[in-house]
Amino acid sequence: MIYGTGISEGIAIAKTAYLNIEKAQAVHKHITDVSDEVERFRYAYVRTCEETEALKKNALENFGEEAAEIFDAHLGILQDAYSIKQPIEDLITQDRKDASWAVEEHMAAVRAMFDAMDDSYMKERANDIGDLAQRMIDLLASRNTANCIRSDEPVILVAKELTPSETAKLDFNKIAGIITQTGGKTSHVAIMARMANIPAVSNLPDVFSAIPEYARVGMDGTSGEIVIEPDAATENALCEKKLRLQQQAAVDEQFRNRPTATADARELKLYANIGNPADAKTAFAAGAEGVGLFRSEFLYMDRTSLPTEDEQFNAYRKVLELAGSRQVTVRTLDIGGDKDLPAMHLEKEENPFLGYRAIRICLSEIEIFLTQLRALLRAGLHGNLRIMFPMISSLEEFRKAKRILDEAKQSLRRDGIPFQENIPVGMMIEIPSAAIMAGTFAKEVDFFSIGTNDLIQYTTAVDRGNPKVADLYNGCNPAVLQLIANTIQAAEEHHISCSMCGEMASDPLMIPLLTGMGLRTFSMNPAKILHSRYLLSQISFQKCAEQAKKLLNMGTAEEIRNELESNEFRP
Amino acid sequence: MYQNKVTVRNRSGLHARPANQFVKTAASFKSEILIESGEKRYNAKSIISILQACIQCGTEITIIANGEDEQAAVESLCAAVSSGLGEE
Repeated sequence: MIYGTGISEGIAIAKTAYLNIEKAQAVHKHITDVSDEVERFRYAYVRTCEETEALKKNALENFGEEAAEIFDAHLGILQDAYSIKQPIEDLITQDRKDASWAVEEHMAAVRAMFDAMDDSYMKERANDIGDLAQRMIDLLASRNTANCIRSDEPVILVAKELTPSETAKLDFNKIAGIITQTGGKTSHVAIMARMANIPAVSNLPDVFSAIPEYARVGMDGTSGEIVIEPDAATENALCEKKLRLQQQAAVDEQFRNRPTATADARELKLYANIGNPADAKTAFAAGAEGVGLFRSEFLYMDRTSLPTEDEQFNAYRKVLELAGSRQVTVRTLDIGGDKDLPAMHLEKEENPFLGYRAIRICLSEIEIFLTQLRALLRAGLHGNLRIMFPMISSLEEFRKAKRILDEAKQSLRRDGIPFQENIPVGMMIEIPSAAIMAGTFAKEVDFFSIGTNDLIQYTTAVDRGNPKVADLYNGCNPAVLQLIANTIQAAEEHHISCSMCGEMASDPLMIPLLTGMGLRTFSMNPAKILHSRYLLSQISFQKCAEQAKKLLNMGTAEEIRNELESNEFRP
Repeated sequence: MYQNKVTVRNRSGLHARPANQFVKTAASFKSEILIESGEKRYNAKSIISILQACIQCGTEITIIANGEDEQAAVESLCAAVSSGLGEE
């Protein structure tokens, strides 16, 4: 039994397959069977084309035509038989070079030609050629790349980590579970696995030594337990657990089209948290009544240039159109140097979570902020949009952000570009100073959304990604609950809406307490919506409200947790 | 063999997206197609060759085709280049 950190719930029992994303080297040897080697090359070549098509499709769905163009350029290069495919095959047939060597040699020569040109566009093409060469070499080395999983049965993917671009290539129909070395509960892997409803466990040092390849493995994404070659008893236990989860899912299914309400008819709303336009379809299919958090970071990550206003506009509009009349709240850029942002040249900081990130970057790099705000204002004509600022710690910050929003409006007016004038503008409550001052903020902002993940970390000074203190991260901490209650109350007093988009919103243990505190809108991972709707239908708001008063007077997280665990909130 | 001349209008020359458009159009014909620019000739169906040719805005090129659909190929490509290859 191995223990990792469960980062996405569920049970899987399947054979493992490694996803090794380290770059392979070309093999400099001469071959004897020429036709076989040409076949080998053609296989890798075709797969590279397919991968590129998939990346193009993904870019088109999430970012629009402009972003997909680069993959079009890649395809153009790959399909150049005269300058690319044929010369490589010639190196194999005439010089009898190993396919990977032929690829390396010829592509390096082509690349050199582009590198020598002064033009920046040509230099970029040089990079593309290097990229494509490496992909073919990786495939020839039989590295499992993300969409090359050779198995009929779904597998448990084992990897060091999963970057967003690797994720884009995954065929989820072939994946039963994911085990990674790194990637905590808020990592990209976790978010993606939860969206796809696949169990995932991470935090396993030296994962390729710990987990053998092609071994049968059982994993529990809730407890973080992994068993290699489980015996009959263990396998049975896991299967039973899986069955119970499936049975609950069948019960939850009945709530897909029902409105959200408690047993005593208090109406509530369940919204979805999404990370890109492709998630929106999943979210609405899962029964989301709106989008409480549309993370905009996907526009900036994993690329060397900043997203243009049009790219952003297209992405926002796409989601708004899918949503129809449902409300969609976009959070402006909320990222820092701890994430991969080659487009922004952020410096490494000692203390990134207390540093230059999110709204602070936007208030300093005004051009970047203006571009995003202009795109949002334009998109606002296509649906029910709200804009939300992250990491607000003072009223001055909020006011400054609003002034820049006004600037964006003025610049659109000057340019004669139509936009939505009256978009509600709100903020995340995730920094303690904001939660404490909620009453003051409530006078000036249109709405709150409580980000519990960061609120807990900042309030109790705990880095949940640090294994030494991760167990101190506790949503039941009475101080945190006080801040949440204060925020909800301030919102009510000033007649503004208050929702919650942090993980706490989907925690079955906390839902009754939050309901009792007066929270009406819960935004969460789409996969949790149906079960949450079911849970809410089983509890009484009256009971929750009574209990909430009691619980907020308790002094320790332990007491609160025990009370929540043993308590009955049914009518 | 069939050929005709046309001037490249695109601001950055026969480059980037326009080049891709050009090559895609050329690829749809059966004939062998070449571009002549200055003294050199380039394979019109090869994006790498076209990019290497570095054809600037205002350059007059000759499109030469050889094959069963040579006339259609030349005419179609000349029309495409004159109309800006999808740009502006």
